[in-house]
Amino acid sequence: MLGGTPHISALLRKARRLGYTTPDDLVRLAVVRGCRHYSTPDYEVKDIHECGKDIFSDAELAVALISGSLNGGAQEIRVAAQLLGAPDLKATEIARLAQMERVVPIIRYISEAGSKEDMENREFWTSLLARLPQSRPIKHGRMPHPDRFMSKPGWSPPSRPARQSVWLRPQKPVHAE
Amino acid sequence: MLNNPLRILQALDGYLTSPFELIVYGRSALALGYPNAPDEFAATMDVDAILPSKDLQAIEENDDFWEAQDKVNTQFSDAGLYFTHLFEEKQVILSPQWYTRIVPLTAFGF
Repeated sequence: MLGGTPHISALLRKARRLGYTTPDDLVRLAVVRGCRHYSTPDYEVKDIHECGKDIFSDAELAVALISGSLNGGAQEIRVAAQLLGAPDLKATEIARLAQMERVVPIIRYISEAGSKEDMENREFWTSLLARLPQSRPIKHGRMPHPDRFMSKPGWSPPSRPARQSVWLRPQKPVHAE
Repeated sequence: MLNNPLRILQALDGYLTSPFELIVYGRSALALGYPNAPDEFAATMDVDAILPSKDLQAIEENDDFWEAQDKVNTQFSDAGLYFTHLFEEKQVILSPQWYTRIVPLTAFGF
């Protein structure tokens, strides 16, 4: 647990009714939607049904991943952070969903990391933080380190151009054949 | 002052097409169930509710309730009000005989 009281989530019920019954199903849907960083060799695109973003939006998917991870699933939180880094999300929608699903502290943690590390999308993260109510910070060590939300370059020789750390974002969605 | 819990529950009542027993909890219960409750309780932005464990499976399958809930949240999206904090009885601190002590809210015509 990350310090919150669990509740009966209407968002997770919606996900279940759409066929996404486990946190892994939500991760797989996120992979289909471009979070390929979290794909594993056993993931097959055809194994997961894409219901469509008009039915279950990326914002809903990101918040559902967090809501479903309250038992401490770091992987789901990392995938949610990547989804939240998509360029077309609305801070107002995410802030409302965060309150409704009682995941403000986790969204706040991700947003604070984004506002410091994701310069390309800093305006979005700052806007999201401004819309979130204050919340008690999560105890140190309970959340993935902000580095886990990013792609960090390894060592490269001085003769090569320096590579920058970048916030992981969804890539072009994968479509089943 | 507008009574937000009442707005939310009246809207929910309007969307439900069949009877549903909802056990209101927290500040909303204080605002609606007690005379002369402080105004701040009526200003709460949401309604918390308890779902009895014995009814949980039936509630899970009750599309009428969940669709009404979704419509309430859509209706009040711009106002910032919401109705999503639903707790199973084991997720909150209650007295052992709590279910026998719930009090009907009869004054509002639900």
